[in-house]
Amino acid sequence: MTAGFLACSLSFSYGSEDTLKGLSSNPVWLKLLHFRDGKSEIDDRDFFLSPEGYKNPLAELKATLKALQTSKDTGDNHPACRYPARYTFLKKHLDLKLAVKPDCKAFREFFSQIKPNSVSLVFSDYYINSPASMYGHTFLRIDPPFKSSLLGYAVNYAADVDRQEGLMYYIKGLTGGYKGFYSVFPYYRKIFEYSHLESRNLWEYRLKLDREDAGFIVMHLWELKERYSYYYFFDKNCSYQILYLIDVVKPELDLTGRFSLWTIPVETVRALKKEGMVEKVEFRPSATTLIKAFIKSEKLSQKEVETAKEIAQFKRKAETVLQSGIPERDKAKILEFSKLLFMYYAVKNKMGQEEYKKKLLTLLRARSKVKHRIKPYVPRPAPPEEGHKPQRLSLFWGTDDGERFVGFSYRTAYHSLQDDDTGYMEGSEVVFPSVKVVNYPDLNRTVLDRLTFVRILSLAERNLLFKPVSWGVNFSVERKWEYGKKSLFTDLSFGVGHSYRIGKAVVFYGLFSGTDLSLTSLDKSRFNLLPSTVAVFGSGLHKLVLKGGFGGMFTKNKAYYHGRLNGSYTLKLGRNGTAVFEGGFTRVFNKNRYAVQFSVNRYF
Amino acid sequence: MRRIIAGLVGAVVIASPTLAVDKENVGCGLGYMLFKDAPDTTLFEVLAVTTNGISGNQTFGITTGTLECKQPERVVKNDRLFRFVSENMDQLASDIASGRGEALDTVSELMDIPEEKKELFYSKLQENFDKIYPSEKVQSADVIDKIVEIAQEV
Repeated sequence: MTAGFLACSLSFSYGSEDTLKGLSSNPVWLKLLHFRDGKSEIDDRDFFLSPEGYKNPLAELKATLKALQTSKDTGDNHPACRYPARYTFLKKHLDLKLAVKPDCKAFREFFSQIKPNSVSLVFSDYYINSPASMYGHTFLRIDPPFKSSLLGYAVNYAADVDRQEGLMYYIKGLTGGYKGFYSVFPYYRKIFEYSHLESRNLWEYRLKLDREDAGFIVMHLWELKERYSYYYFFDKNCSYQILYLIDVVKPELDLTGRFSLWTIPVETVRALKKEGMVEKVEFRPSATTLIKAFIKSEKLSQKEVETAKEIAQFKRKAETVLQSGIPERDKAKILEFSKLLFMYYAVKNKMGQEEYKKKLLTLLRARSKVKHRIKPYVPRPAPPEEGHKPQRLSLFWGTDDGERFVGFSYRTAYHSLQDDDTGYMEGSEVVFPSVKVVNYPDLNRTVLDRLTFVRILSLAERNLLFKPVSWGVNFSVERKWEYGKKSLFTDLSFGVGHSYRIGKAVVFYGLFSGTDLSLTSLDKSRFNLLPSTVAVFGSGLHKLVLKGGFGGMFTKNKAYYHGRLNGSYTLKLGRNGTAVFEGGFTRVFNKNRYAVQFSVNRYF
Repeated sequence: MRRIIAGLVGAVVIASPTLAVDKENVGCGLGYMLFKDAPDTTLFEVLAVTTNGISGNQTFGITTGTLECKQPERVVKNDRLFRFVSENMDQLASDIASGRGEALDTVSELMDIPEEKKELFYSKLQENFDKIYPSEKVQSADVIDKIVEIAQEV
């Protein structure tokens, strides 16, 4: 009786049912609960105080109010300590009185450690060698009021995975089999991870958010500690969940609401830029970008590079440089450069802790003996958001073995070898589902010409210092030549090789192997093995791509010569348009087939 | 997963003396950030357990860290400086050896070194590199004490 009366009288003092109803549909409240389409996107039921909270924002509001007003907890478990953002929001709109005033020690320490003052979104470049990171990655950085950005805190959203799982890792990543959590780490740790270990450039977008916004984000972040949502690689991924943190302070932008089928990290940057939310952009080069820039900016000779490399690998003593008669500045250059190279080789040579510490100190001691300071100039590439958009619609005309055709193709994402490289990794290709439909007007026939599930190509330059392997995979269903006609095959191919820079071109040499499984009759299936080369010239306004391969095709009981040659020229028409001319020849079953095609492409 | 497990071990380390012995392997010296979670691995393995787009690490790793380190004598109350130096030992050593760099700028900002004195401060540090880092066993607390000593001369 008393309890009932108490609850009643207290809820009365917060205002009428109508007030609470109104408040429960306030965009800030809905964003604090991560509501979308009438339901919360937080799957952890412990996040909610009402059993209905995940689908009923009013019930959650009432439960939160009740918990705040009745809790007798004096410490960290008080709802005002556990839900500081909700509490701040409700206090602003209602005359709220707590039964006890708790001491939120844990939250207070967390908040004063971060000392939120400003917010940046950080984009880490593409990392083609890990399929989960090919689109890049974004996280938030919350900065205390210091000039140095090393003192900021990176707020990351990631799935809690077990990498040992192999294929299951990908299946679970795509289907929501993993739980995703928010995490906070000092920014320098993330820099180390991305710039040094993975060699990914970082782009830092300072957002137009003030101290109060930054503080509210940190409060909300505390509410999300150890709370999970199921992770979906394409849509509910890191970049998407990070947007909720901006949404709680800018609900009118409804950033999360703009992404449904997939959330591509760079698209979230574009959305923020479009809304005028970006104040300034900083570029943080990765270790390898810095090494390449160093050679150019300091005009290192091949001999100097070799010397620095030997020192970094401890095949030569640093003292030999110190004692040599070369100018002091050259000594500084070489030792500075070997210092940069050291970490790269330490990882490659699987160095253990004791050896690492000794060698690092030996190198640094030598470097400290030369006073000259070296500050290499690092040119800033085009930022990722200045690249073309990921989806592509193409219309094309051409002839195939003398037969005229027209058609269209649509690609959901992301970047093809023929596309302009501005804002993307040079010599890279990442294509996720794309479809190509062809009509032959003279035959009055329309066919599905190709359905690509995934195609990846990474042409990574090798040079004196870096020796990466180039590789490619393709998985598609496409029409291919057999004896007298084309029919559908499942194409599974894989290639490896080496790429080098020759003048302005990147040239690949390697071996491609492919398995064509016929969809009409298994007997028609075949295997081919082609020593191949790919050359990519220039970028910007013009681009030229040449591909060639010649080898063998093996059917169930016979072997044939097989070869193909293809060239394309791309003319850039603004940021989101291109025109492409291409021509090719393929030799299958002792017959040459020629094709030419002209296409116009629109990116969106 | 090794990293998370290592993180959990780190969390109970204060309460458990047997594990604390294991931790002394690392100390708070050079290589601290790299090896603190897994002292017996190689740099290659450190690379293998770090993250990409999808990866697990649901912790809020900001308030713990330097409790197991030897505390500096000269810095009475500057936890931010102590933690930064401890976790950026390699980078700071590298910057001091070169006479410039972001980690060095950060340390001098946290120490409130006036802008006009930075040049001299950086040169002095570079000159005294061998004194600040006498051996690879040097601890972050000693590094800070030396740096503060040099700052007072500038």
